Amino acid sequence: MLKKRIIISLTFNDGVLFRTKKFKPDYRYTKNFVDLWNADEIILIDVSDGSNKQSQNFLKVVNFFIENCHLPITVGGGIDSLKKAKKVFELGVEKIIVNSSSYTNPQLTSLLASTYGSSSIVHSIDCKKSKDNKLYDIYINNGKTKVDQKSLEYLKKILSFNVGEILINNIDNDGSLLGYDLELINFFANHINIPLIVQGGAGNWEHFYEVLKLNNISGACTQNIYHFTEKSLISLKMFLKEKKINIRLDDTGL
Amino acid sequence: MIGIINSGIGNIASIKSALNKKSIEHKVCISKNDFDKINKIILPGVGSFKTFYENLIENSIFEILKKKIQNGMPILGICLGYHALFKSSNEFGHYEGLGFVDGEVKNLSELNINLRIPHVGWNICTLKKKSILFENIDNEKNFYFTHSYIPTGVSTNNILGVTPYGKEIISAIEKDNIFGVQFHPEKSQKQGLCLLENFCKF
Repeated sequence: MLKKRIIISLTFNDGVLFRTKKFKPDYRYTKNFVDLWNADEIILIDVSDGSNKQSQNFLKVVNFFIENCHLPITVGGGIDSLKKAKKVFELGVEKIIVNSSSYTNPQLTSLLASTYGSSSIVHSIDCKKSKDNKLYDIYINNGKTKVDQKSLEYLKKILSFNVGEILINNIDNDGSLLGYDLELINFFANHINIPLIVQGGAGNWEHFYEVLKLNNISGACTQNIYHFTEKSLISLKMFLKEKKINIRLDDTGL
Repeated sequence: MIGIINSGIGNIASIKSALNKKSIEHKVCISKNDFDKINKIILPGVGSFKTFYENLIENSIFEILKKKIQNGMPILGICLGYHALFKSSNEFGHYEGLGFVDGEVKNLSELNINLRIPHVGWNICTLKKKSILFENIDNEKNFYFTHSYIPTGVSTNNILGVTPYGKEIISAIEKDNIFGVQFHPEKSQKQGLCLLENFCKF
């Protein structure tokens, strides 16, 4: 049976692991351990501004993960052309994440799906609760620009590009440690018939259980660096296994 | 020496890093002139069958591959490279494959699978027969899958392993010198690298 995935998501600014919390910005610390900790997938996001996007420093980081972690690696952040996509695929990543470019250049997302195969394209959706507190709005450009379309209509459009997976994120929850936004997940999940993974808010093991027990969720991402300390992913997975979540617990390492 | 076929869109870098980790000598084959000293072939592939196929034809690799494999050279097809071993694929049109193994590659949705497509994540590969490819790999170990298409109509003799996804999908084949796996061994940690090593060393 297909296992539910625990995904480590790391953000980089010009190749340096970017954390707003009390974390020393040094990616070497993390990358040496990620492979050993039983993660099921690693997401690397480039959050650099403008000209620093896809800088040599970021590509070096991607390359380092490819060479050292024999795990699925997904890369996102600023991939707005076939050329940029090619560059990361050539480094050996399986999947890329697109987001804002689908709004400005919808043909590109379809083209990426037909060139690299649907299963290689993940579409992330950043959301915030709307002002009336009832619905959700979708944002692009790292949460800076609100999409001027109804969120479910915009979702429908994204699905029509034949992407292979949706990554849903509540911007306000990100880093909150208050748990995933189950309301947001419920809002979108029934409209999505491809794998759905969620991000934003994981603070404790119970939070992972709350989302992974849902049938329509394929995986949960965490950006919380404190989940990456020694053996913590193993302990999370043992916790989930006890709760009857179908999880991968192979002995890892190489 | 292992030849890794570069179709132009494949993720050969991760195969290379896996072979480096196991200290296995290899070389990337981009054109028909790159096959000197090659005695085994890995055919990886990320992408759609259409692009993959067109790139192989354009670089004259298709024909030389056919010849080498017919002459008995071992080949391991991975993911899209696995699909290429069959007679044909329906991904974005209808394409003839290398045709070493009878079968047709179809979208998972055509198999009446009531689950999400693509099939993405870690799943097991249960062996139907013993194989050198899976030596020292426990049956319950997981491999990483990411695909929307799968071979169908494969003769039982050639089926090496199956994976439960709504129904049993054919995730590994073996026919004489021809091996193929749907999952990505180069991304499947310990057991994946073990499988690559088994292929390279037998």
